[in-house]
Amino acid sequence: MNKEKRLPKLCPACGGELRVTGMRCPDCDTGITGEFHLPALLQLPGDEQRFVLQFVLSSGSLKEMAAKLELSYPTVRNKLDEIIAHLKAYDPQDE
Amino acid sequence: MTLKTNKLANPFRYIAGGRALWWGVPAIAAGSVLLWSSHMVQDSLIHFTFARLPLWQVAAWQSALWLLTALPLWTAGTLLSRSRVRLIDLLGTSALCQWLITALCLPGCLPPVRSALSDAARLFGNLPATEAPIAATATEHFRSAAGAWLLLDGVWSLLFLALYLLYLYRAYALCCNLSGAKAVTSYAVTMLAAGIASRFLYSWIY
Repeated sequence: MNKEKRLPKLCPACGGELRVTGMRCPDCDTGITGEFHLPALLQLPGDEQRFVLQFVLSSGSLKEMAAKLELSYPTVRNKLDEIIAHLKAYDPQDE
Repeated sequence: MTLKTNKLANPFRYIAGGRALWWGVPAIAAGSVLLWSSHMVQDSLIHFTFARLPLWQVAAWQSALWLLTALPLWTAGTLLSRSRVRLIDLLGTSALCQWLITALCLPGCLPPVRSALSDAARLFGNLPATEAPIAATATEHFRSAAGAWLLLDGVWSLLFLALYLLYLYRAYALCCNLSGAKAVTSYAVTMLAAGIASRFLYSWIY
């Protein structure tokens, strides 16, 4: 059964920010170890990541997004503003 | 919460802008006809009075009231919100809220309420001295069923007026992306100012 696994972002023990320390190529089994920050977009909750994906696929048109999601324009815009606020909080250098 | 309940609790999550305006403008027209047929007029945002105005004047005033609500709310939202607030959203959603004012006026269509309202209009409206006997008849009439109908109409009106203010707040908060004390305070202050302005404007015009 293919269950969607959610990427944990916070340490379950101390609540600190988790970092990626290893990557592996499934084809040739090459492994890379180190310490990598998660990009800001990956730190968003799953529903917000999906929203960003939809937004990009709609060519950045909130009107198109609203029509697709059957929501009003201000509802979609408010969601986007919420995501922007989250991204700014994760990656303040981008402000 | 199901989608249907959600839609009833906050329809503006699903409809705003031009679509809301499309559905809201008929509400202004219907409300005007109902008010005109009951010889009433909404002389400020939350007050109704007896007046025998021509239909076009009632409709023009109802439209002015709608703009007097939407424009100040849009101004407040533009000043206070970090989001881009579109005027069409406030115009549309506030027009959609007018269906509650139309519902408020509905009992005026019932013959006993209409008759009670007519009597009340003669009693409390601008009554010329020559119509004094009519007033006496009306007073008698008031002691009976008419008073009860007026009371029911009053309760109904208060309920829908409260709903109108609540839904208008929800529309404002959503369209301007405001919440909490900032939204409540700015809404209350804006509505108070718009209410006072509409009252003055009404007495100045009529």
